[in-house]
Amino acid sequence: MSEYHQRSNQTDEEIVRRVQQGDSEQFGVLIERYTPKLLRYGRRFLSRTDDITDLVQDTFIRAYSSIQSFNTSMRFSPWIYRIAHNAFVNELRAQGKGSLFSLDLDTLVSPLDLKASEDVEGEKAAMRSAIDRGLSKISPKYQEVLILYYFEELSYADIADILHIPVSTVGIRLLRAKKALRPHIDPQVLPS
Amino acid sequence: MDHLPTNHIKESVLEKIARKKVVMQPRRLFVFQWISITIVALIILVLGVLTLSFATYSIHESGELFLLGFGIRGVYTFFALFPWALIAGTFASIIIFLWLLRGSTLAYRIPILYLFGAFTLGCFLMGLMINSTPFHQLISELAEKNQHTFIQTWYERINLSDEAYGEFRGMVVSVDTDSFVVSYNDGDTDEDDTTHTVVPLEGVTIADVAVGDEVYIAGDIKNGVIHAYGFGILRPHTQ
Repeated sequence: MSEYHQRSNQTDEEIVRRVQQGDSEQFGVLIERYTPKLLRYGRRFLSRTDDITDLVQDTFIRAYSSIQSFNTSMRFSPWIYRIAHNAFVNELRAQGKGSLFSLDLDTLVSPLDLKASEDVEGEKAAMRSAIDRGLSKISPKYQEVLILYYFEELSYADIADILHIPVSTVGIRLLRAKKALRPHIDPQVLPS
Repeated sequence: MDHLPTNHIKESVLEKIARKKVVMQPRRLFVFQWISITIVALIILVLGVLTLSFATYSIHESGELFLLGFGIRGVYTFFALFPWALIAGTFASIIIFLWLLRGSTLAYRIPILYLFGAFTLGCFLMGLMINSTPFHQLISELAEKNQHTFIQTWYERINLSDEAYGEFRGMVVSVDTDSFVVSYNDGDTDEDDTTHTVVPLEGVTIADVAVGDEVYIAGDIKNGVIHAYGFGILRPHTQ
């Protein structure tokens, strides 16, 4: 099996294990896999492209520095997204675009039994189109859940791990995000 | 579309790694951090448990729990004397504990108020368990023996009378038909270390009082006579 084939078959966690054991070159595979995703995530979150490239690079640098803290029995994707999220949030604060850290009642109390209502693929595609039009007009707190769910196609559990909020709060924020979007887009496009 | 930035970022990061401008922090550092934070968090939680334990112990030992059975005035006095600072200290300990462990999955997956409620209940139950042991008596004795004034003061205050709030503690020295006499304990040795007559107000019976009983009295003192709207036996006389 060629080395390329081997690398593409390995899971993220297997690659991290090899990096932790000293094979730093393998970290390049993770960079290849996640750079497009993190750039896409950052572009929807921030306005200046130059900043995004630098921030994504910083994200990988931080990830490499703290790679030994990663537990390979967990999933790598939420972990790297969490590092990127922190970098983007700090940049937003530096740009003076408000804090995402105001006390959020959703994280204090939310129904523990709120089940994630997964959108079907058709609905997701319609939502992506709708969201693109109104994303910049809503609060960053709602932008991030929409981006992570509809564009990065992460699960509620992954989003909860990235944002460090309860899973039920992810559902509540998505509902509120869609509500916040309504005034800015064609209501026929937005599924109820 | 993202090939250029991807390659640029990859080359830049790998170059920094190769030139040791970016290094992998050792695992033992993270293990040490995790252990340190956990130990500090647990110490703070234990302090919270002990604080709450002492608060419930003092309410029980002081006799202030009797106040809840003495009508509206008793209830009002109970809440005026309630150890709010100790309770606030316990809550602060739990909040600090949860904040220190905020990075753990448990701490963020469950809504904060539910976690806070669960830990408060846990601290309360653990405090009650501690109170069922001679822990506080031992601490009090140790403090007195080793002259730890700060801790000694906290335990001594439990059994002091507080005239301003109309609460008195003492030992019954004699019992009459419609009154009894108690020795007065206010924690010092001066001219008011004497005995006081306790006259119960209407509706308060003294049938169960015996000489040697340690009692808690709620009432007002006028001319050396305590007019009691309620009292309870803290420790009955020993035969």
